[in-house]
Amino acid sequence: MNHACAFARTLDTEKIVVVVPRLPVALTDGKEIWPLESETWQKTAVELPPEITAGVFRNLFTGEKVSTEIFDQKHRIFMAKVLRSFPLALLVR
Amino acid sequence: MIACLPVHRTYVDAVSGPSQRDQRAIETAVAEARKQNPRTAHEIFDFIRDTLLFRNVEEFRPEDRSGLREFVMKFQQLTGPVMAKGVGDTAFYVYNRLVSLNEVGGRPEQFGADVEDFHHSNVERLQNWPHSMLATSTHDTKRSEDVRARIQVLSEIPKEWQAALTRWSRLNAYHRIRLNGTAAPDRNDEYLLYQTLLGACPDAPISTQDLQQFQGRVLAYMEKATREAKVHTNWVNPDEDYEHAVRHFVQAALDDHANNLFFRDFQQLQRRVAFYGRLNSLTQTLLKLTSPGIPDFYQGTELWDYSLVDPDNRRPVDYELRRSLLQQLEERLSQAEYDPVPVLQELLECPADGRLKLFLMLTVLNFRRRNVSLFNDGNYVPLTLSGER
Repeated sequence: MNHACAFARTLDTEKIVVVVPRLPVALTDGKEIWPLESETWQKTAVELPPEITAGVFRNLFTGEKVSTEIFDQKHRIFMAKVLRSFPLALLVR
Repeated sequence: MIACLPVHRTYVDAVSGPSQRDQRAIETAVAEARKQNPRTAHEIFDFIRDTLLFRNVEEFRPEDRSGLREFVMKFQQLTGPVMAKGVGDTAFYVYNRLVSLNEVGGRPEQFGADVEDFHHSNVERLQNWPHSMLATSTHDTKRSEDVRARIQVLSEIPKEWQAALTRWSRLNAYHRIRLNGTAAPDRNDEYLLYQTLLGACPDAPISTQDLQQFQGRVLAYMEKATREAKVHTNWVNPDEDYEHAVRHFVQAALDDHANNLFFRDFQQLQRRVAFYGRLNSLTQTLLKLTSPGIPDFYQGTELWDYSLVDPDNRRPVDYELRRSLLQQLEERLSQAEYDPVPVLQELLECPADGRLKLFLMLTVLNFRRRNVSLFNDGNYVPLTLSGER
C-alpha cells in the first residue's frame, strides 16, 4: 500500500479520481517494465469514501470504462483494472 | 543570527508589528545564535530580538525612531540574499547526498516524504493558498524536473548505486591528478559529477556529436558547481590547478573511445535510471496538473527536459519540434477517438521521445479547460489504498 497515491477532486456532482504509481523500481521488481500487469498490482485497490459513490468511471487517457466493485464491504477500484493500458489514471465520473 | 534564521526573510513592519510566524522565526534564530555563542553577553541577543520585533521602541528617543525603523527594514532586506547565497548557492553545492533534493526552497536534510505528507500539504494549500503556482522547473531551478525525477530513482536502489560508485571511481581513479598531496577532483565533486551525469545524460543511442555536446554542458556545469561550493575554487579567486583537474577528469570520463570502460558501464545504470525516471516524471506531471494550485510549465518541459542550472536551462527551445509532435498527436487522437489505446501503446513503446509527457499535458490541460471550477475551487479528498502494493 506504499506504491501508489490516489486522491479525488470534487465539486457538486463533478468528481474525478487521480491514481499514480510510486517507488516504481520495487513495484516492478526492477524489471524495467511499465507497471500495468495485474501481476504487478495484485489486489491493490483504491477505497472510495461515501462522498464518491459507486458507479462507472471513464478513464480520461484510455477511454476505458471502470466500474467500482464491492470487496470486503467497501466500494473499491482495483489498480489492475484502472492501470491496465496506461500507468497513470484520471477517472471521470 | 542571520545564519540561524529558519526562513529567507521576515516581514515585520512598524505599524502592524510582527506576525506570529515572524515572531517565531526571529525568536528561534536569536535563541540558536545565543546557543552557538555562549561567550557573548545575553543582553546583546535580547536587544537584537527586541529591536527586530519593535518591542523596545519606547526605549529609543523619538528622534531616533525613524532610524530604528529603517534599520529593521534594511536588516530584513539583507537576510534574503544572505540565505540565497549561503544556502542555495553554496551549501547546496557542498551537501551532495542526493542532489535532487537540493532545490531552492527545498530541504535536503528532509529525505523523502510519505503519501500522508503529500496529502497534508495539498489540503493545506487548498485551504490557505488555493491558487498558488505549482512550478516544477523554472529558469532558476538547479535541475529540471525530469533530471530530479531520474536522480530520485537512486533513492530506491542504494545497493546498486553504491556498487556502481565503487566500480566507477576505480575505473576513473587514473584520471585524478595529484595536487598538494591529495587527488583532484575530490570525492565529493566526483560524487556530484556521477549524479549529474545520470540526471542529465541524453537518452541512448548517443552519437559522437551528442556526447561532445554533453561533455561541453558538463564541463560548464562542473566549473560553476565547484566555484559555487567554494571549497577548492571560487568565482573571486579561481584555483586554476583544481579546475584543470576537474576538466581533465570530465573529459576523460566522457571520452568517446572504445576503451572508455567507465562510460560503457555507466550507460547500463543510466538506461535503468532513465526508464524509471520517466515514470517518476509522468507521475510528477499528473500530480502537478491535478493537485490544488495552478500548474506552471517552463519552456521546453513539454517533452523530457534534462537541463541543469542556468545557463544550461536557458538554451533555445526547439518549438518547431514540439509544435509538429503536438499536431501529429492531436490528429492521431482525434482519429482514434473511440479507442486511443493503440496510440498509447505506441507512446509507451518509444518512451524516450517524450510524447508520453506531451500527451499527458495535452489531455489534462484540455480537460481542465472544460472543468475550470472543479480544479480551481473543488474539494481535495485523499483516498486510502488497500492490498499488497
